[in-house]
Amino acid sequence: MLKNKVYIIEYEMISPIALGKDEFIESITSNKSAERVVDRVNTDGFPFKKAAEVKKDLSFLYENEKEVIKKASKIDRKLELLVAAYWKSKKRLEPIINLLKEEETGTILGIGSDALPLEFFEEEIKNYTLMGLNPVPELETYLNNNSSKVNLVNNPYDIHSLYLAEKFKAGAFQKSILTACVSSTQAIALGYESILNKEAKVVIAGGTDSLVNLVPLTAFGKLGVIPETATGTECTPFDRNRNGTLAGEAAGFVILASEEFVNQNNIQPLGQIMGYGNSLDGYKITAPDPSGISMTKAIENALSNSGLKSSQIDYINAHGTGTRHNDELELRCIGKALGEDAKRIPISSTKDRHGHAIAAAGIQELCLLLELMKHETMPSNLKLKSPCSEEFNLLRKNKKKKITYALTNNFAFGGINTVLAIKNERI
Amino acid sequence: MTYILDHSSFVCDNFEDEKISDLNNISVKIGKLSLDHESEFFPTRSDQKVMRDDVKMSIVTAQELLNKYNFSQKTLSNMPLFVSNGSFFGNFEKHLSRVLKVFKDASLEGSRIEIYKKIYRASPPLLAIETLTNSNMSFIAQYTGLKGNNATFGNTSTSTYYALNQGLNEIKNGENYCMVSASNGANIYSHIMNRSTSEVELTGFENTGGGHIILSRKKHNDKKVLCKITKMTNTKKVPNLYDKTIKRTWIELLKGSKSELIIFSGAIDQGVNDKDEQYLKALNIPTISIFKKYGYLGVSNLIFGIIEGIKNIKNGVKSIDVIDRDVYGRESLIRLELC
Repeated sequence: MLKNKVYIIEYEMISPIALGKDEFIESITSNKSAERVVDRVNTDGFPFKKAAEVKKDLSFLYENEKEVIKKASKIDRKLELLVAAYWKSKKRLEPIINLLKEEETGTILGIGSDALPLEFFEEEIKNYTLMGLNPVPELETYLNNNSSKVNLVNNPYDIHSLYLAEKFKAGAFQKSILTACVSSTQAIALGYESILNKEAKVVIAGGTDSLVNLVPLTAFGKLGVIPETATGTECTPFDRNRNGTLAGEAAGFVILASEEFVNQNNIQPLGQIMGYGNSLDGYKITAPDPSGISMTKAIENALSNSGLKSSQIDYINAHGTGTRHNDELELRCIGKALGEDAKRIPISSTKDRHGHAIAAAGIQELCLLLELMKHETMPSNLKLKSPCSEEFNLLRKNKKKKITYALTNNFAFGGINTVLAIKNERI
Repeated sequence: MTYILDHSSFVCDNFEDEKISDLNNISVKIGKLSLDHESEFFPTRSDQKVMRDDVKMSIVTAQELLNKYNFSQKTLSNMPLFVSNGSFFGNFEKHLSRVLKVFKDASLEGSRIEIYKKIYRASPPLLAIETLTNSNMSFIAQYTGLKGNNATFGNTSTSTYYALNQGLNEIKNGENYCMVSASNGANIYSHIMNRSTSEVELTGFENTGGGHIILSRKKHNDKKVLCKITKMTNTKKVPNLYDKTIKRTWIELLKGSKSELIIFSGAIDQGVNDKDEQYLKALNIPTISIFKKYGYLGVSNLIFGIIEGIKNIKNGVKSIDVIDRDVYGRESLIRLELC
């Protein structure tokens, strides 16, 4: 039986290399990297100084938003990035929003771990502590005293999908996926499934996250996954000398729609979710399974679920974090899953340009992929000097080439592997 | 048709008052979990270091449940797992006490470099893993061998409705089994998160607890199922983020129901629970309050509602509606029937 189709009819993104999807391609072709000294967190005493941060003040984008959202956005960077992504696209999306029915529209977002930005509240924490009080609960109770259900800090994670639900009149469901680096990839996969399962006709799927906050930045640094610039190394995915990732931040969404919705409303789709693969390692919380069995299975399942053959794949946007653990294993699994074709297919990671946005990695890389498809461009592994494997077609230069079918991979801490198969519908 | 093959759970019966704010005189009654260190399924010492207490007991009860059935390795490695999770930063003070001390001791006019150097040194090396939002799911996979389709939903009580709905879709699409798990860690931060969504000043009573349900596609001869799930539905309206008033519309979800019992949850304090009870009285159907039995269980509300339903089905009730409302007012219904 033929599967119903799920199309991507719109998308938007706030990324350290693009304040909106339209800026992506210029960043890619001009080989821009967002790796800069961090502004929002004082890294003076840290063994690393850089991250991929959205440098521009975003508040101009959402100046007409409700006061409580504006206030919460000033503290919760994840919310701010998402709010900015919505307002960036608001006008353009109005005709689509007008077509949506409340009971047939849902939202699903991948969300990163919440952390109070302690650096904003140094003085308050010090004062509460000197008064003999437990500082963080006192501070949060004080900040959250308002008449709406929106907290200024420590919101339930659902606040993000509910925020978009209000904007898109999405009543069918408002889901939040909390699976670290695959959160938004799974959100897109499950959004696709909910259309196939007739839970909704339109789903706004994506995610938001920021590592540029004192607690997560130190946590990832202490875990040893951010390279210390003192040693002269940077985030260099697939390089023999790689030793860590580039902390990032991003937010975005795609609008997924059923075939019926697209046909009824005479919409020209931009892409199609062909299928996905999703598996668990069940190995160790701290490291991927070195055998790569489940990672390989996720890639294989993405192909079989899509009805695609490896020979049809034109490009792979790899997870490629630049960490010791991920990159070589990812290549091995691509090799096992795709056989001989793995040697031909151009592969690149773009994390050395826009950073690792953790829960928003999947949506950032999907939006980027859709722009690459539109502009018939394949991005290079920007900082690759000495490849960790010569068997694969790891792109060393940006290439002008048509992409019809592509895979986009993401893998998470705790051993979760999610791969999307995407078709270019602009051809 | 989707059947419930079996379930397991854990919950606290020991409660303590925890102070949230001395300045505002706010406290909450919180369930304190007793850990079953003697269990053969208790996690290894190195894993315990990065687990919240509710995750430890979730791992024990997941293994207890799956070990009752002789699932083959192949069945386990293909079995989907959908999890819902509550709060992740269980004990901020424990994790970041040394960082907070740096702030306390810091002279704000002092050298910024020195302060941030100290903060970096004081940050715990495993914090990113200790607060990992998919920790429960990844540890269940590690200890049980479940490796199929998966997701962790969070983190209000409606997440469990979504996890269960995803499980039902898997069964509908041909999987033989699927595990759905929920784990709620109650603490002062979960209460701060929830209390400001409330229309009234809360006298909070939050509990830690969790559980697992195995869904099955068929009635197996060798494995007796406990009941079937015949309906799942939820409110299809966008919640209002700017109005704290609770608008009870469960009756709309219950329209046409012939169920003999309603099991409900959603309240975080007694006053709200009493109003829920009063509202449901109009239906003239017996009700059971999960809050009254356990306190507010967050994402575990629905799991305990279903387990309570199964107990009643065993006692002869033929059809039960398990209903819940999350802190944003999203309502859901799961219908269980004798089979």
